[in-house]
Order: sequence, then structure tokens, then C-alpha cells
Amino acid sequence: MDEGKIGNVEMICLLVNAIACKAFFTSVAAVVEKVGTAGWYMVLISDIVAIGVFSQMYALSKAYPGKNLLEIYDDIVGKKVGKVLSFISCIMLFVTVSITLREFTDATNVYLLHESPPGFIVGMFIIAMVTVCFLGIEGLGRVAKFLSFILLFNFLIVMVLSYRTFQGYKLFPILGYGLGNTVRHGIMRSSAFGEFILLGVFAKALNNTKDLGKIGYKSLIIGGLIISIVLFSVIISFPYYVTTELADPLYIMVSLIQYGRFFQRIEVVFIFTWNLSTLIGLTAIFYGSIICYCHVFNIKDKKPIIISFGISTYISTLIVPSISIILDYIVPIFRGYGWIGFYTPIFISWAIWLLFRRGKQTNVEKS
Amino acid sequence: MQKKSWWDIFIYKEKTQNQQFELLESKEDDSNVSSWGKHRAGKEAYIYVDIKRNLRRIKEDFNIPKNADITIRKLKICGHIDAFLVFIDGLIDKKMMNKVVLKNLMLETTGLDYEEENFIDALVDKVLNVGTIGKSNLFDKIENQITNGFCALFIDGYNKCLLLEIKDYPKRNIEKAENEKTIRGSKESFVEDLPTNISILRRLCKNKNLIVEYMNIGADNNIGCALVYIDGIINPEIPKELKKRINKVKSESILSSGMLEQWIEDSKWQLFPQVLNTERPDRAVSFLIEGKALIIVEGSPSANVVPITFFNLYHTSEDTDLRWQYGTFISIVRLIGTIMAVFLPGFYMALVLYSQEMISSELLASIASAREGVPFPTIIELMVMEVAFELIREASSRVPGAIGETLGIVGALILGQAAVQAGLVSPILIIIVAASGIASYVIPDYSLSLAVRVSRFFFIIMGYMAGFYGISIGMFVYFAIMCSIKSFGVPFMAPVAPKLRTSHDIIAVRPIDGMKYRPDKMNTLKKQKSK
Amino acid sequence: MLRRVRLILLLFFIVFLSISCYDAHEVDDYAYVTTIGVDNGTADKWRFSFQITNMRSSGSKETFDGKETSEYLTITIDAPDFFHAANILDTSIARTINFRHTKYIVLSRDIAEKGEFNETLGPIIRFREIRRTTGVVVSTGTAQSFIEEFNPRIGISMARMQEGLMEQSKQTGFFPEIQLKDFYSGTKSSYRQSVAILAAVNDFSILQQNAEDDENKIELGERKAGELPRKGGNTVEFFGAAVFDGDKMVAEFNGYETRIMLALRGEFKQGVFTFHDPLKPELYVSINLKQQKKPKVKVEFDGDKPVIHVKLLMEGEILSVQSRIDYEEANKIGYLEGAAEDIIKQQAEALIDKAKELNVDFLNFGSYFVKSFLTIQEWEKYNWIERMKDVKATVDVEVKIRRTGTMIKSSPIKGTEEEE
Repeated sequence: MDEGKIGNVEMICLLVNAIACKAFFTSVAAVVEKVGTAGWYMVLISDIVAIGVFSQMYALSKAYPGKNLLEIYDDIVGKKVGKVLSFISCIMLFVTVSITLREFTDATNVYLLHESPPGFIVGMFIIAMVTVCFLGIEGLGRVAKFLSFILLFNFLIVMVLSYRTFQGYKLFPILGYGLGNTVRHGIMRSSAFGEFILLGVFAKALNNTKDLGKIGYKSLIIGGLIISIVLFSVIISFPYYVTTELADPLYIMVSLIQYGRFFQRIEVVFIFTWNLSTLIGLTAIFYGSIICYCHVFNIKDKKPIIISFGISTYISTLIVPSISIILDYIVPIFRGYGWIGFYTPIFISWAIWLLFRRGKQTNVEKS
Repeated sequence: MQKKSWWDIFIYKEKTQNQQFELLESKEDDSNVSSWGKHRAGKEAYIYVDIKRNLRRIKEDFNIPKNADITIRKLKICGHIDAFLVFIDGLIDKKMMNKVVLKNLMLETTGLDYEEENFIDALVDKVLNVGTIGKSNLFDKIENQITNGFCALFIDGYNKCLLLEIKDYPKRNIEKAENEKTIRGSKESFVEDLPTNISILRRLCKNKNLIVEYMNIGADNNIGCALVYIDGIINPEIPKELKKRINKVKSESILSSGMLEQWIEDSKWQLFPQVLNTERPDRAVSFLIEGKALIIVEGSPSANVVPITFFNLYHTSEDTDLRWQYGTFISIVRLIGTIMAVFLPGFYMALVLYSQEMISSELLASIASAREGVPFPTIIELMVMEVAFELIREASSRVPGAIGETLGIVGALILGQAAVQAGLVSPILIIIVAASGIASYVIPDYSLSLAVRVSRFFFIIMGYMAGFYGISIGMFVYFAIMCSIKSFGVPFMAPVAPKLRTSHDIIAVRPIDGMKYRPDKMNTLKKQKSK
Repeated sequence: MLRRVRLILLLFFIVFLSISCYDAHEVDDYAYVTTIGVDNGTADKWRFSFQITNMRSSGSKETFDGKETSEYLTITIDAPDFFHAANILDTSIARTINFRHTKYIVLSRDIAEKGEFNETLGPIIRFREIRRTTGVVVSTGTAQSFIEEFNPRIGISMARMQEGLMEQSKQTGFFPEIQLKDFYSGTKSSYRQSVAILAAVNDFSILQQNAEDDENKIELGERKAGELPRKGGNTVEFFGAAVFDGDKMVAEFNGYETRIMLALRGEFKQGVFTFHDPLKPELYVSINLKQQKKPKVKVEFDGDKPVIHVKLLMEGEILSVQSRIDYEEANKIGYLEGAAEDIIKQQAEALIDKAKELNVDFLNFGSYFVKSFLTIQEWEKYNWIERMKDVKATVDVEVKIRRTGTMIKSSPIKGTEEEE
């Protein structure tokens, strides 16, 4: 299947959505529970860690221009180990889709469609995801670009409008549960930005892999800022002990917007931001995991894989019976230790490249 | 060129476009031997030296004497040489024929030397005072030209035939543009006659690089179409591809530009038009200057423009005609209209059925009290009203002139009023339907406005199915499909998605000196319009 | 191909239309509850009252058969749990009870004083239909009687009246604008304590009493809800505030105290201050004061004890001067400003004393002190809400009268009977 080419802005939009859509769900409460009022800059710490890992990936892609991350793995550690590394990435992306989709489903179920069974919500979501995947990365990138600016605008408007609920003192005590605690969790939760490996996976769809670094840094910074703004506004709207209680603090915050008798209850604007951003982000991650899978098993044609992936996502999303299990075990484990899965392949290949391959490459260049 | 359509998703293997064409091909009737297509398929036939064989061949081809209006006029030139003229009665200028052609051929040829080698040239140079004269020795071409209104002159002993242009046939005058109205700007519109249309274009665009290529399409009715573009601006791939696609048209009859449009568009499964149709020559010229190509089909008072984007369909010539402040204003009004036309009923559906908490209490109270006593569920109410509105619209565009307005009034006012009073529909719903109906009329392009009307139903269903969640799912898929449309390789949503360098007039119109560049997506040869 | 696409589309629509629309409900499928109340019950533990409107705008009261139906009804039920009560009520009113447009939660004083909010209505915040912008009201009578009277007497819709009432907090400052989110987070807060709106049904009996002695005369603003000497109009009134310690109500504030409390919290918008004319004490002066800026606050610690300096900044406009003295003049306007400053300062100091006495921080002082703490552990160890009694507070008031209304001077009245 023809991959199609997308531009830099499109890629940034995809990545930012993939990174930032998590901020609409329970992670906000989870972060506040761990680090209290320090959540908003803890995200920036995570972001810096992720940027650090990304620079390693960038170094790799500079060394192997014109190749995507998976092919780089193959080149560095050999086909067999490379496949294992690619497969780890594939699983990580797949699990990200499932977990985020589950969080999304539960949030939708609570706030929007109370009586619908989760299967219906997930089903519709996956149909949309699969349909757009068939259009290829080109259609996906373009729709991301088309919608992202509107979404960003909506998001900022919502943030500005809810300034009435902002009360500065809620940011204090400024250090939360202590600086050490914040930094530790910041580093651990850097997996929130692990989606940047999509950039490596999609590298071939770019017109020019030279722009990889620029795109990666930009999208990590924008994504970090968005998550940080979300946390900041939630923390400044609700005291920390209330935030930890809320299933979807951002949504509650928006529902508090009230200007006079008529201009209130404007969650609608936010619902679109929330839904569309999740749709774009998850479809990108979903597509990334398909690319990884196809690479691992040498499959040329992605089309038959897409539907089966959709079905497996459906099952894996609904397999956990209750939201309590998700929130108490799965999400904390995934967010807290996900960085192992996301970053290990990059670490390994980067280290091997640095120790063994780089010398050879420079030799080749010299000769 | 890579073609993609949304429905490809259901196919396992990508199939070539050809197979789709075959589906539509009708069973050919082989008995009709004298079909133009048959001739074309066979060997090229040259004319004979012997005039009698030529005459027989012509009679055979044109089914004379069954065919009544084909006239064969035998005459002798230089006093003794056999010759004959073939023409179609209604297509030529009788006066010219009698007073110029016949008179000169019969009287002025006496001094000419028949044995001379370049007798034909001498005939053209000295005798035939007709503007356009062509020479041909192919029966196919000659017969084609005869049907085009040429008069063919066969002379005994020569294997060449002279084609004299003395066309004259009734045609409509240039009139006001009916469907694309503007307050300012030129009032003239294209007419059905191809040469007239070309002449208008020539008049508006006095550029020596303006290329007009004629092609014939449709084997059965065999009408002409012109491919117009400005050499040096247009990306040379576009006319090449266009000619390829026009030649690939398999239909035996192309009756209008609309039919041709459907043959050459990228994907037949997309809701949105991929070819723009305009009846305004000034608009057509503005597209030429942007680096697009026009296809004008004989008999259709409009020009097809390729490649296009959504924003070409969305803008009118007035947007740039007016000062940018006004242009921006009307453009924004149109944007609001478009959004309303697509989403308003769906949103209403989602709000009322799913998200009552998002309506302020007082508004909810008025919605509830308006619905009091209405026996239908909202979806039925809305669907019935939407269908009724479409009925009124369709009916009033079909009935003859004066009744149309009456019908609109009767339909909209009396029916609506009565329905509300009878308690069949709620007044608030009439407002929704009417507002979205009116909003769909702000869209200048007819095809686009139909596309918008159809997508409105899609969003109503999505809104009915799952409220705002359904609508956002619908939006995602809808826009993704919309963004993946291509018109002759140009992305439909360019320059928004993909983002391109020159996004000068997406919605807001820039001051005129800001519009320096031709659209980037066209990959034109000269990028800059002004300095 | 065509057939396949058609089949898929057909299947898609059949499947989806048949399995979808779980949540689609018409507007008139619901009964919208506007006010929820809770009292002590007799048949069961609690008595819940629901005010239900039929959600019709006031303009069209007549139904098809021309019969006038009332726009609202109050249903009361004794039940052990709120949702149990709501669910049981569905069986009798033929529509599903819906809380999406609930505007007020009413606690009776009994419930509030026993601290039963977190057992009765506190848990319902979990329910998605309850918005956190719902107002929290403590009724001095029973919640049931309050709800029965809580409806518009003039021809405006229920929603407009109930929403409009809350807006009046901004215009007068006589009661706080307290939403469920504030109240709820206040009960759990480590920064401050909750207050709620104090409301009551006025039976108009106060007005009918004959003129009282001067000593017994209560100033208008020092009254509480239900005691206002008025007649006509809506019988319910919001006036004053109920102060909570945790979820236990510990005090009632009158109108003036509420106003000063709001000013100290920086939430006061504007209100009319009427006080004795500084130069002619038997007459009154009215000025409209606005709190344009948040109070300036400095905090420090004297050892372990918190010290706070508050400076209130008010701006105002003269509304009426009964004595017709030229307070507009630059050298006299100071009298007015001084008088206003004195009164506000006096009231503020009294209020802070009251807070210390109750050991309840309803003034949001905690939000200033918290800035001196670095981590949540330190802050929670310090346990601010226990410390209010130790606070040393000084209050400064600065009133600036910026405008004098439409008059810049008042000329004396001239008549045959010379007064001045």
C-alpha cells in the first residue's frame, strides 16, 4: 500500500494529539494524587526526560537517514533482535491505544452516554479509526492538520473562559509533596510522552527525514505545554484533595463555566475537543502499531491487518471488567513503568550504535 | 496517477480503475455499421482520385438519400471538370454559398489551368474567397467537418478535398449569468456555442500563450470540446493528464459538460465535486491565471475547471472583486452559513435528545413547551420537515417561472404555519430546518451545496445515534475522507490540509497587494503573480 | 462492487440504528427537578423534597384543553437515601426524575447543625446529573416548606427567578454566592471552611408589628433571612450566611456580616451602604460601594502564631444624601469616606473576632498563609483550620468616592418655612 507523504505540520499535529489526548482523562487526577499541587511542572520534568530520549532517537535517525526507526533497529542489532525490539514497540503502542480507549470509554459513559453499553462506544470509535486508517497516513495527517488548529483554538478558549474558577492560592504549597517526590514521579511518568516513537515509525512518510529533529522537539514541547496547561488550570480550579476525587477534572472544570444566565453549560465545545483529539491521537497510535506489526512479520499489505487489529483492540479494551481495576492497577502500572517498554529499544540500539557502529560508519565515510 | 476513494477500504486488493469503467459500459449494438466509432476503429480511409468513387462513398456514409438534409451539389469547374460540394443544409450560410462559393467556382475558374500541378492551391489562392479553408484526404476527418458545418469540395482527379468554412447556424446571444449572480463584476455568461465561448475567453484574456486545443468526444454525437489553458503558467502535467482522461472516455455520447465532468473526475464515489463548473467567463479566466485548465463542451453554457480545491468552490468572484474588508465579511458570512447548513439539525438532534443539560434552563423550557402536544419523536419530526423542505426546493426549481415563487410561499408559509397549528411539528424545529435550509443557499457552487445538503442527513443520523459523541465520530470520518480527496493530484482541502506556503485566501481575503503568489498546490511554472 | 458497497452501507445502518440510541430521550420524557431539600423524616430517616417543573415557559400556561396547570409541584418523601427516594418517585410521576437542571440544594437548619450534609446530600455530588454550580442554601425553617414557597410570584419563569435570585448576590452582597463545588470543597478543605446561603420563608409578620422602641430597633442589615420587615412578592428570601465548621453549621450571619465577610474574602462585588450622616446623624446617607481590587494582604508569623494585615479597598458613588449637605465638594467628601471607612472597619474587626471565637476560618485567611509553606506535608502538619483562634489580625479600610451621581452639587430647598 502506498504510504503517502505528509508534511511537517501534519506530523506535528498527529504527534501532539497522540501525546496530549491523555490529559483529558483520569491521568490528571492520578498525577495530582501523586505529586499534589506540583503536577503542572512535574509534566514539564517528564517532558524534558522524554526530549532527552528523543535526542537519542534523533541521533540514530541522523546516522541512518531515510530509514524509519524499525529499519534502524534491524540495521543496528540485526534482523532477529531488531524484530523483537520492533515488536516491543508494537505492543506498547497497541496497549496505549487499548488503555486510553478504555479511559475514554469510561469517561464518555459517565458524562455523555450513560445508558449505552461500552461496547457500542468502543465499536463506533474503532469503526472510525479503522475507516481512517484505510485512507492511509496521508488522509490521517491531513485531517489532523485540518482539525488540530480548531481544537487548539477551542481548548484555549475553554481555558480562558474558565479563569473565573481560578484561585491562585490553590497552587500552594508550591512544591506539592516535596521536590524529590515530584522529580521522581516526573521521571517515571515520562512514558506519557512515549508516543514520540511514532515519529520514528512514521519517518518514511515525511518528505525529508532531516526535519525529524525539528518536528520531534516541537511536538514534544507543544504536547508538554498542553498537558501542563491542563494540569495547571485544574489544580488552580480545584483544591488538590478534590482533584484527586474527580474522574475527569477537566470536564468538570469546563462545566463550571458560567457567565450570566445564558452563557453557561458550554461543555459541548469541550466535548468536541476531547472526542476529536482522542480520535486523531489514537488513530495515529493505532496506525503506528500496525506499521510495527507489518514490519515485524514482513507484511506488505496493511489493509487486512487493519480490521483484525481493530477487532483485537475492541476485545482488549473491553476485557477488563470494571473501571476500578483500570484505575487502581492497569493505568498506574502502565503510566509509571511504561517508559521501560517505550524507551528500552531506543536505549539498547542507541548504546550499541554508539559503542560499535558509529566507529564503522565514520570509517566508511572516511574511506 | 494514484487514485484513492473512500470505499477502497472495503476491498482487499486494489483494483485498477479500468474495471470500474467496464461496469458502466453498455452492451454495444454491432449492427449499426456506419457508427463513427466503427470507422475510427477500422483502417483510415483516404479519398480516391476518382470522383465517382468519392461520391459513392460519401452517399454511403451519410445514408443518402435517406438522410434528407445532407446536400450534394454537383458542379463543373473550369467549365468541364466534375466536382461536387457536400454540406448540411442548416449549418451553412446560404447567401455565402450562393453568392460567393458557387458563383466563384463556376465563373472565376475558367481562366485556371486544370493541368497545373498546384491547381488546388491556385483555386484557394485565387478563386475561393472564404476565410478558412482546410485540406484533407481522410474520409473520417472530412465527414466530421461536414457535420461541423463545413462545406467539402471534391474535385475529380485530385485526392485532396477542400473544406470551406461557411458556417452559419442559429445560436443564443450572450446573456446574463443566471446561476452565479454577483452584484459587481461582469454580467455575461457562457453560451452553448463553443466558438463564441472561446471568443469571450480570448477577449478577456489577451495572452498569446492562451492555448485552445479542440478535441472531439462521444462517438455517437461526436461533439467538440475545447481544452483551454495558459502555457507557461499551468503545470504541463495537467493538460497531459486531462487529454489522457478525455481520450479514455468510453461513453458513446457525451451530452453536456456535466457528463464529461463525471467521466474525468478522480473518484466517482466521493460526495464532493472534484471539478468546478462555472458559467462566468470572468471567473473562468481567473482560474486560467491561477494555473488551472478549462474544458468547454459544445452545447453546455459553462466551463469545467480542473484541478480545484474546496476553497475554489467556496469562493465567488465577488470575494476578490470587492475590497478585502467586504470580501472577508461576506466570506465569513458564507462560512457561518456552510457550517450551519451542515451541522445545525444534527446539533439540535444531539442537544435535544442527548445533552439536555447543555441547554440553559429557560431555552429548555421553551423547547419543551414548543414540543408540548407534538405526537412524533424528534427524529421523525426533523426528518419529515427536512424532506418537506427538500420537496419544496425541488418543486419550485422545476415548475415554470412565475408559479415557482407562489409555490415557495405556499409551501413554506402556509404549510409550515398549518403544521405548527395542527400540533404536528414544533415551531422551534421549523426554525432549525428553515435556518439550515436558507444557510445552504449561501454556498455559491450548486454541486457543493447539494453535497452539503446530503451531508446534513448524515450528521442528523449520527446525532440521533449517539449525540455529540456520534457527531464527533462523524466529523472525524467525514473530514478525513474530505481531506483525502484529490482533484487531478491536488488535495481537496489544500492549502489548509496539507498546509502550503501560500494560504492567502482561505476564509479571510487579504488586501489585493498581498495576493502575490499563485496557489502553491498547483505547482505552477511561474509562482509569483505580482511583485 | 456496487452491490458490495450497497450491502455494507445497508448493514451498517441497520446494525447501528438498531443497536444505538440508548441514551436518546425526548425532552418531555423527563421531570426536571429544580430544587432538592432535605429534612429529618418521620417515616424514615430523612425526608427529601423535590421541586419539579414541567419545564414550560411562563408565556404558555394553557394546555390543549385550555385548563391551567400549575408550573411546578413539590413532592416529599421519607427515605433512607436520596437516590432511593428519587427512584421511588419515578413510579408515581410517570416521567423520569432528572437533576440536570437542579439549581439549589436546600438543607434545613436541623440537618445543617447536626452536620449531616455529608451523609444526606454530600454523596450526590458523585452523580453525573448534579452540576457543581448548584447553589447551597440553609433554610431556617424546614426545607420542605421552603421549597413549597420557592417559586415566582411575578410572571417570570421558574428558571429565570431561581437563577436571577442567585445573581443578586453580586448586586447586594447580602448573601454569598455559594455553589456546591465551593461548599463541598470547603467541607474537606485544609485552607478554609464552608459557608452557605441563609434563606427562609418570610411570613410577612414582622411588618405588621407596630413601631418599636428606638432601643429595640434592629437595623435592616442586621436582620437575618425571614425577618425582613416587608410584605408582598416572593415569600422566600436569601439574606445572610450560614457558617460551617467542617460540615456542621456553627453560626448564622446577618446581612451586614455577610457583606463584610465577602469583602474580606475579596468576593464582594457591589452593594448599597447606608449609614448615619456624619454631620447630621439623624439622617442617612447612601453610597454604592464596589470592591474594585482584591484586598491587600500581608501575612507573617509571630513565632507559631499567624499574623495578618488586611487592607480593604473600596470605591463608591454617592446615591442619596438626605441632609442635602454638599458632600460633593472636595473638602467634604472626606467626611463621607471617613464615616464609611469607620463603619466597615468596625464591622470587619467584629467579624474577625467572631471568627476567632468560633475558631472557624470562613474568611479564606488560609489562602494567604498557605503561600508561606513549601510542601503539602508541612501545611497539613501545621493544620491551619485549627489555628484561626490564634490569628492576630489588623484591618485597614480605604474608601474612595469617585463619582457623585448625576449631581455635582445640591442647592438648598427654598420655601416659606425657613429651616436652615
